[in-house]
Amino acid sequence: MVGPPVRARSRAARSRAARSVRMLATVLSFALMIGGIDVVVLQARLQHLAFTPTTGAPGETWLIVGSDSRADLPAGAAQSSFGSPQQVAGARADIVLIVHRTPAGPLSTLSIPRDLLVHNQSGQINRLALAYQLSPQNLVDSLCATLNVPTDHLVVVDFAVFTAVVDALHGITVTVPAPLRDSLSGLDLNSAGAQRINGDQALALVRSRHTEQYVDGQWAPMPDGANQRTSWAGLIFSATTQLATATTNPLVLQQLAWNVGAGLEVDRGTSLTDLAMLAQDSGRLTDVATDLVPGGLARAPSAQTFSTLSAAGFDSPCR
Amino acid sequence: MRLLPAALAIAVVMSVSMVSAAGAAGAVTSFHGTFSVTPTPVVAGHETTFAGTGCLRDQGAPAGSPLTVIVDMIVPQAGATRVAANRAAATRAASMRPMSDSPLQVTPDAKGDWSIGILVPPDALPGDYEFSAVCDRYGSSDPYLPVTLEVQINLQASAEILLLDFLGSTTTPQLSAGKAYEFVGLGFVPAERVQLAVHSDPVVLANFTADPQFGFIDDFLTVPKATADGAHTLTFTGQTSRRQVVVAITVTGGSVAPSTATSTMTSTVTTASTMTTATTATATGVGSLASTGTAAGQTLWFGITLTLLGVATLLVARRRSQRAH
Repeated sequence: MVGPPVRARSRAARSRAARSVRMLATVLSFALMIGGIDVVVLQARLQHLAFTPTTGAPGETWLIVGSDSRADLPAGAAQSSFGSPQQVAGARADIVLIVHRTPAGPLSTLSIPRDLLVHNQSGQINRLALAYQLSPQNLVDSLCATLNVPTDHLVVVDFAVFTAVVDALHGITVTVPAPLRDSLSGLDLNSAGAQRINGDQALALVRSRHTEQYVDGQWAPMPDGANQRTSWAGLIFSATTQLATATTNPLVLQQLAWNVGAGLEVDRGTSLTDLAMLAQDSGRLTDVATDLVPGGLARAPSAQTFSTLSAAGFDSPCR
Repeated sequence: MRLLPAALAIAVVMSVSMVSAAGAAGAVTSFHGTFSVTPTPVVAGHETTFAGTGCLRDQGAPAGSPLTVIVDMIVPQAGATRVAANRAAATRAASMRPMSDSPLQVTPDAKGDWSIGILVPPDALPGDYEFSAVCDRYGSSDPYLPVTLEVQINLQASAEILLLDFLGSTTTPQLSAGKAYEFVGLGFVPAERVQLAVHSDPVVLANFTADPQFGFIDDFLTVPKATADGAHTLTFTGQTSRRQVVVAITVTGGSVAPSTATSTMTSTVTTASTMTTATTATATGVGSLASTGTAAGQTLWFGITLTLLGVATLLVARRRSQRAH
């Protein structure tokens, strides 16, 4: 007579299995709830800015602006290195990147010099950096009126977010042709070649306008140093997005998302998921060539500027 | 209370007159400065001046801090391909002397005033060109509102010829025989045929047709390789208007000059309605011009003589033949 004990064991086993399933379901639900809350919280941390999109070339275009606002400096940064918000009022566009997805799918990323002369729809001219100072909308309108570049989405990154993102990735690897320095931006890279740099040095590199390189035993100004920063910006952007998309550690990704959300300004149509996809697909970066206006900082669009833009799909009128 | 309508009326009148005054000089007020272009309209090939006020450093900025005014032409965009083409074409109207397609830059004085003159290229197409300016302080800026420069083509009763490679030069243009030179002709009657000849022995080099709307020509001329080295003149004659322009040139790289004249004749623009040639000569050598063209006269006489000799020989041969029979 083994019936009753077998049935009892069977019932106990089913009961344990049911408990396990319930526990697993509870844990999964809890994890999903935490994840959901996390996403909501992270999304809520994004600051939104209002602008009116412009229309033109088919596809979707993102305008990514590196702002030089002194309002939110990197943690631990000396105010004297940057100047106070009173000394350096407002915010200029230090970096201007365009990411464009054509209807066919391929993405192109363009880095535009901050000193490029542009005009808005009212015919007022300005350097790109200063066009942003008047308002983000003025920058959007100027890119449209001068270069036929429409803007569907706008992302503004300040100094603090920039360094925090790089630091969250435990630094990024860049390759430089020679040791570089710039006392004004705080840049100090002691060796040539590939090297891992932290957020502060990455920021100093993209802000460097008076870069000196150590060649043949002496420090010498880099030719066209002011325009070189456009290339540095592209270099940092590519390194950051590549590293961010290659990272699988959920804690690092969580910290990255948390840091990004702290000071990133985006339009209302942009979510964290969009940003992740942007980083995933941004692809190779192209410096947009321009002509230096003799005797000054400003640069002017050239035929090569427009051929590069046309190759990226910007060959329709923008409004 | 009766004063109120009167005050309003005065204010309106003053506003209107201020706007009119600004419009007359092509001036527009922006922030606390003004930006203007004078004169406008301007005839292609002549100068105009951009001027502005109010470009000062920020309060507290050091005296040597960057401060510049950039003046640039606004190119209406209409597709990326056309933008480049438009800019290339349109910047011809905004070129500084010497010709350049870059934006202009000028440093304002201590009061914030500035001005910069440009030569509107003679081959600028007629129409309205929009220019803008910005007071650039490196870290901040004040953009001016744009002004419009109207470019007109020379439609007066006299013609001009400009050799583009020699603009601004005060010496006689030196042309290499066999090489093409771009020139612009202004002031001809629309659509008329313009004949180009080289002297002293007139040789017609080419015929051109003036623009059907504005009467200008933008083309190339080539002095034949057979032209003797030395001083020559080019004449451009409107076949309808009879307007004529005489341009003194020196030819090099042609055939050997028959004389050692070293004339350095200056050019020339003339009225043509009366067909008087106002060429100014400052010859420093023997005053005669080098002969041009081929020695066709001598060759012709030589040919005629040979032909006559041939005919005579033929006749003599026939008579001998008849006598023999």
